[in-house]
Amino acid sequence: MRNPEEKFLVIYEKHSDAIFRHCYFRVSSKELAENLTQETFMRAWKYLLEKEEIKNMKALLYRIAGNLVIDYYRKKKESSLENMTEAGFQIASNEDKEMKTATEIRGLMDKLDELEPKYSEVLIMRFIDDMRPREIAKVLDLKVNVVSVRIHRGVEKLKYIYVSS
Amino acid sequence: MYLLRRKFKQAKRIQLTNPAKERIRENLVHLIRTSQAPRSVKISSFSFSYSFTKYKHLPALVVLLIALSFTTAFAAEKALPGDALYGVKTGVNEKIKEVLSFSKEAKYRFQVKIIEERLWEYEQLATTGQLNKESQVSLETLINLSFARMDNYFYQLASSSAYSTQAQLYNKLSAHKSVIQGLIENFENMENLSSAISQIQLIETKLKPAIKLLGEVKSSEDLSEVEKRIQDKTSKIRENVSGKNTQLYTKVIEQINGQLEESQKALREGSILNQKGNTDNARELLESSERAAERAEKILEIQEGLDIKMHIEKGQITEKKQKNEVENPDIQEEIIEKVDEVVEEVQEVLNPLGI
Repeated sequence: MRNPEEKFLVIYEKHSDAIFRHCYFRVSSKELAENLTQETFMRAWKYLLEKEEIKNMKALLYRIAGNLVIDYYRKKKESSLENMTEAGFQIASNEDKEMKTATEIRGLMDKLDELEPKYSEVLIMRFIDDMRPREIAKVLDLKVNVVSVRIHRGVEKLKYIYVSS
Repeated sequence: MYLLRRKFKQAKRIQLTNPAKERIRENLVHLIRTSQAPRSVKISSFSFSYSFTKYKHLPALVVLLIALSFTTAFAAEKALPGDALYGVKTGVNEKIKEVLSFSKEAKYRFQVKIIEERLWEYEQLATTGQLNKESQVSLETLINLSFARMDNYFYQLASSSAYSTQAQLYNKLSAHKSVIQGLIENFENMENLSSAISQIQLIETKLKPAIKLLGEVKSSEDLSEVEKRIQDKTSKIRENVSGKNTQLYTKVIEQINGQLEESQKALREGSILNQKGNTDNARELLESSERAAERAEKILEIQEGLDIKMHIEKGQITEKKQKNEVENPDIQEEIIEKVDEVVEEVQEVLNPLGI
């Protein structure tokens, strides 16, 4: 039987990359995304101390991360795509494809930035975080239909941005 | 939409760097250890459906199992570097076993076993006078490869048993290091073994950041029971050790006793703190005590498992092991090639399924 500390560290191992990725695509800064990832898990732990039961840990993590991103937007928004190629940034691919991959990802971030946050948020969750519409709905506290519509419209707008660029 | 999907797919490769992940984990551990955790907690997350199509390629795996049953493959199990069948052992048998380890956790544990197997081979070669530069380089390369794979699986796993396995591996490595040091100190012509020590030390430093996060003593365990467990373990080891008088054993006994003293010291200090009510620090000391006891146990196990027949005269090892004879090396080569092909095909099938 695992104790709470072990369970939580297991959860960290399982979700840290996904939370980092989510934050990174929302704030476009590696260091900031790392800080937000850390803050997300720390707040989740503190929440666990208060409540002693969490029915949906994944949803909680994304909700905390999303709120931290919103707080960040309220203070300041940076668009530092140059951070993609700074030392230490890790893409899990082989070295031959790394440069091409980094360029494509930078392009994607650029385009996502042009969307309204309500669309970029659901697209990131759907296609990068691999969450299903009902999972996204639980995180954002929306109806599933609303999420599906936003995903559909977000994709159309993103396609349009790509075509027109 | 295909192009968009492709771009999203590439974006999924982004992940935390290992140092960043480690740094955040350490900060989390600090927060966890300085806060009062609830005794029990219920955490659940989204479930996912299991696909029964995962094993639709079993027929190909059956071919691999048949390959394992070849006489040559079985005979190769005890081969050492330099033996004719060693290529079958590492290139066929171990490869098949790895592919047949379906889960990431199984693959992770398999690589840990392989590292230990390589260390056994070092010791066997050294004690039979066969450890030369070529076999040493071969073993170092194989150990580095297995460690890299093991490390990769460790970071992919979401399992506290992975942390426990790291702690156990750390203890095993320490034990092997002690035995190898004993061989170096006790016998001549053991210089090639020094590189094994360096390699083990390097792996130990990489393991430490992972193992310090979880100890052997659970927070819910009664520390008095833990003290008793450690005491029983150390008493049992002392009983096993007493009475072994050969020259090699003397050196090994010194190392075992060293670990037992370290264990006893930490146990005494942990017990005092436990009586004073300082349970957090007591727990850490008892963890340290238990690990030292486990290292002592492992050294004894390794020593007893080594097939050493030596003439103890002027510290020279004079008996040489007979090399395995292979009647049909061409057939052996064919087997390796054929199994290689099948293994690659099966791996291509299993990879997209996440196996």
